[in-house]
Amino acid sequence: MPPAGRLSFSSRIHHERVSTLLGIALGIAFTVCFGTGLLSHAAQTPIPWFPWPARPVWLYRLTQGLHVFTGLATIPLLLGKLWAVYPHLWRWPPLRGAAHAVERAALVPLVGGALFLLVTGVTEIDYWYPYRFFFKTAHFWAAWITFGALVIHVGATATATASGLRDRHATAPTTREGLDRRRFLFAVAAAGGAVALTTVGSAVTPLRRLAVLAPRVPGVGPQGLPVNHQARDVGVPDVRADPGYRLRVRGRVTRPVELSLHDLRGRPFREVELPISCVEGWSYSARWRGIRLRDLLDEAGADPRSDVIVRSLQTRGPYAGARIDAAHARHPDTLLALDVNSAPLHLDHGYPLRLIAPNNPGVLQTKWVTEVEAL
Amino acid sequence: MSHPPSRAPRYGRLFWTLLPVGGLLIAWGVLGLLRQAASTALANWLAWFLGGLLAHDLLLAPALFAVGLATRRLPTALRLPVRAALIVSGTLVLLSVPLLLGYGRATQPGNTSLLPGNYPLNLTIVLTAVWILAGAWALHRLARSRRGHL
Repeated sequence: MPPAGRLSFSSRIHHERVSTLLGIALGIAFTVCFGTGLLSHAAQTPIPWFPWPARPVWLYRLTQGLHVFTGLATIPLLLGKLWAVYPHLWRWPPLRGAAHAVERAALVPLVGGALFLLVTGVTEIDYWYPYRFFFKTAHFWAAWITFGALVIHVGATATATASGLRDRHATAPTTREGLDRRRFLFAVAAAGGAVALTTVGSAVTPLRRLAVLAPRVPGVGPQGLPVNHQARDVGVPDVRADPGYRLRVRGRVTRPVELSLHDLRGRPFREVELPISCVEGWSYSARWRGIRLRDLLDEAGADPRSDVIVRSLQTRGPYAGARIDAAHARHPDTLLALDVNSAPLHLDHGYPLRLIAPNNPGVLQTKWVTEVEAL
Repeated sequence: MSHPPSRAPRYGRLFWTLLPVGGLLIAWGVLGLLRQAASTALANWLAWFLGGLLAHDLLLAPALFAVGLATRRLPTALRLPVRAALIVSGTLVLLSVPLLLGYGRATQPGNTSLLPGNYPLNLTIVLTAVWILAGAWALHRLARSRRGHL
């Protein structure tokens, strides 16, 4: 029987070595995305045996940037790989024994999952929701299924991978076929590079002018900072002229604290430079000025080991409050900020008061703070 | 080199070791989907999961095949630069679809930091750059083929 590559397609691209090299790159990329995705969940949902650290401050910025931009650059790799192996889909006979049947069955969650993760990831960062499921849970569980299928696929193709790697002649520049295959791989890599170059500036500030195909651009937004949710979208009453606004520190404390805006402004300020690192991959640093959360908790007599819940004035949306563990709450750089870049917070950045903590995912940097509860 | 002879894949110890590991990970994912059925909207989730697969295998891949076939008519010197430029620009266009449609803006009217770019213009500029590079490459190859190097 002639090899499937020749049987169905005359293109010289459909070769084992091409699909091996793309497969290895994809395996690495999906492992990076899976690992950083799990880290992002660990950062958002406290896990007792895996406390998310407050240092280094750039850690979440790095891991979530890796997650999103590796995922984006993977799009051409996945399409190139599927293109290289496509003839196998129509190979005859379709099944050769039980093990082959298992291998082929695992391709459904592998390919379906990989496409699902990339499509939902791209639409999510672009704020387009053409589906009915909640992105976070749907993407998370799809990742487990896809990664499981990848593990099976690695086991099934290890032999072919080894022989594909040994077959250096297949991409040697001395033959016409080899040259074509090298150029195909080069073109796929160039496409991944083009995607990275036109988007990664939304996290890597020096490259921000190149972020022409990114849904967020650092420096664009009120006070030069992108806004994830506006005050009016999550039902925040306009407190700009409200003398009744209070910050309350309560819960398991010995001396509950209640402060008006005037009281807050009269306290000693601390200034820190910290990034907002969004779960959607963009991140941008700013200078924040405000009151140390630690000082307020001490003043109220809270237990230094206790976690806290920071609550917002917002009446809608899943992030009206965030549980902050003791390590973050007690960190000297964790502030309830009143100013950003030397001016009072814009209403959409959380006026009058927002949480800013080191190495804390953007969605947990609660805006419009009105209550801190010690647990 | 010619293609290596086709042979039945061999399933060694590694396959049978990794199979239960991968199977457990898949089962964990399915269990999670079921346990959080309220937010994962199972029927819709499955439609997107299998829909992507079918859309690729039955629509996108044949379409790419047709494009690849069409470029075979090009002179040898032009074929590679054109194909490379098609791969790069096709990826960028695909990635830009949600930006060009701009539905994200409607989810938060007034949020000027959301999809702030002029994406039709930006994409045009990027694609122009890609095709200028491809054109320069093609000219170089044409010149070489005239001298008999191709």
